Amino acid sequence: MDAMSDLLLRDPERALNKMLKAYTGLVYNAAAAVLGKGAREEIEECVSDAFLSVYRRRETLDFREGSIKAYLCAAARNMAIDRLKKRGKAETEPLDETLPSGERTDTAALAGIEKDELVRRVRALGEPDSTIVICRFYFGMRTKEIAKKVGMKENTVDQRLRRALKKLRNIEEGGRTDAE
Amino acid sequence: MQNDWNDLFSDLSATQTQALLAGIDTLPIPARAAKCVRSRVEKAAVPKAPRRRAAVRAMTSLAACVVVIAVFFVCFPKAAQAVASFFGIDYTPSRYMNEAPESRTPVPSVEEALDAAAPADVGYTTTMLPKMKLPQPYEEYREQNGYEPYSEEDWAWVRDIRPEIAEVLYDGETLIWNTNLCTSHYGVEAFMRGFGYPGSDPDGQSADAIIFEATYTVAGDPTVYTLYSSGGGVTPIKDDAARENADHVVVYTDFYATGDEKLLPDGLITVTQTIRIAEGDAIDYSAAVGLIEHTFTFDATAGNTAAANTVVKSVPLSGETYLSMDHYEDEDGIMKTWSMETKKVSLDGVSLNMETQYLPTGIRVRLSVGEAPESWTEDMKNALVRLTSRDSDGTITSAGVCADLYVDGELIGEAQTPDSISGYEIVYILPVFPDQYVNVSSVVLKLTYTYYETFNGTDQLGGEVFVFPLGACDTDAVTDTVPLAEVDVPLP
Repeated sequence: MDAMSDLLLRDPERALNKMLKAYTGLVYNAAAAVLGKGAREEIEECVSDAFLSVYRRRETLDFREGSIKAYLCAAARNMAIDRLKKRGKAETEPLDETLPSGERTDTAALAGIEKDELVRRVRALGEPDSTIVICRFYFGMRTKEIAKKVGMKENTVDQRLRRALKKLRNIEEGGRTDAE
Repeated sequence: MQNDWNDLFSDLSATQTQALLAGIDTLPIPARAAKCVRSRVEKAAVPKAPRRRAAVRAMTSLAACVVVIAVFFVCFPKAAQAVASFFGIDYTPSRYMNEAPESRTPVPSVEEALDAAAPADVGYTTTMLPKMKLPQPYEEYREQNGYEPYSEEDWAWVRDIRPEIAEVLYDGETLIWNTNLCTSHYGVEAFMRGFGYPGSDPDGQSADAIIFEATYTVAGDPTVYTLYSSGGGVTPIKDDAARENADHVVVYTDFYATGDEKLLPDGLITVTQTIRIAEGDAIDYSAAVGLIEHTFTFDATAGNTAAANTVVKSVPLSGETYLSMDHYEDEDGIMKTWSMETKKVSLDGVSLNMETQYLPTGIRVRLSVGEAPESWTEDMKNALVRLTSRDSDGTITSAGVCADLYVDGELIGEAQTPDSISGYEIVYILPVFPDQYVNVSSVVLKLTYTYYETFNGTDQLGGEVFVFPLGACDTDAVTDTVPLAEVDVPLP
């Protein structure tokens, strides 16, 4: 159990303050990736509900299984997906539609991979490729935003993303990957 | 609406999420969104008024409360002492409505407002989970969200809940209502388990309720208007005997006017509220086991009449002060720059607009920037009316305005803000009520301004600017507090 989880159980109000300071940006982006950045009201509701859910369930959540950050992001994302389903699929346009055809093919292939394995493969890419893939596909960030975060040029990010996707496809289960 | 969602990582568990996000701790967020989220969460989780899940907190802070109340009764001048009741200086309308009518010390004008609203039930319908409109079959929905299979038999008691409107408080600015959910002893115990009261079976069902949708209509107008709840939930029954004998639980909810418009029109208002009854925590939509759609009426005329009496005056400022101002810019919702700096400014030519309302729930004072020299930027104006407050140890650790309330020359304590305020303004609700006006000769707010001397290692007084990094940032600051103005609150 990390220090934040420990604090949440011992001093919930102080922990909530720290959680809000530390993770609001992360959780906001997790929900925004699903709902679209324009849906500010809905995003804020999902983020608020995620914080409240973790705060109120603190006695029952197992923080050895997942950190507060993980529970917050998972909760916000699930709530956002629920909202998205309620909106109706007709209103949504998956990220795939905005990707080059090569990327679409790669992500389609990845969708069939078991989640534990997919996570393992993404982490095995090494930095900065893991971060680039996560920012793109978990947080729905644009190339420009990712470039700013990882301190690279936009076209470099695009290149690394394409290569990372190919690598994710081609890794044999249990196989080794080499960062670029 | 277009979005960027790709379902590659759509259904990760917390463990998988932790593994995936290792090392990614911060991402940028629009500052206003961060403030909005914080406000929502803090209001619902740890509000000034004990709204939800407050039983444990209330018990642990009992000693502190006793001290506050004792100090209050010592300090409060005679003329206003009768107003005090057990709310002390922490009185707000929401806190009043969170107390059971039979146990709270009545404030006559608030009780009159409650009577004037004259609420009356119209009817209700209950929809249990199998008949609810969900994105997919409820069995899958619950499983996907980690709940045990729904059992009609286990939750049959929810179908028998009868809602009745208990109290409506409307003062033109704030609308609060309490709804009784009349239920069996089993039901009361289920609702109270979430507050840490195990009842007769510590492993029994735990239920929760929240009002998640409310609309209203007015006679003669076919339009259905939406009300946006600020917060609410089941009120804990703290007394053991009362809990044992209770035949209902109370669901509290509140709404606030925004901007200059009154919240409701005059006349008979017909409200339809949808109450979500849920397993565990009603904030989670997927935990719902039943929905109660309940309709009732009340009269808003008296509340609007009270709020209509507004006195406006200008409060000129003078001298010099340091002003700590943040500057924020975003582009398409993505933070571009966010910085904090402190500058010495002249207050000559600057004035505050002061609006005073004499509500049955107290005197409401609203301060905003009136006049300012052309050289004053929006950042400066915003900084001048940013609210701050004392920490529990009496220190002020963030920049902004704080006010002390004096009645008849005696310090009452820090002026309290209502539960909801909007934008760049300072709002206080003062516990001075209509029946007390005749006995009170002066109400004064002494405003102070707190600025940063250092902020996250930058020498603010030396002209250094702190630039917030992308994402979250802890604050480590040294502050100083100086007098800003002494404001006479006009009495009617």
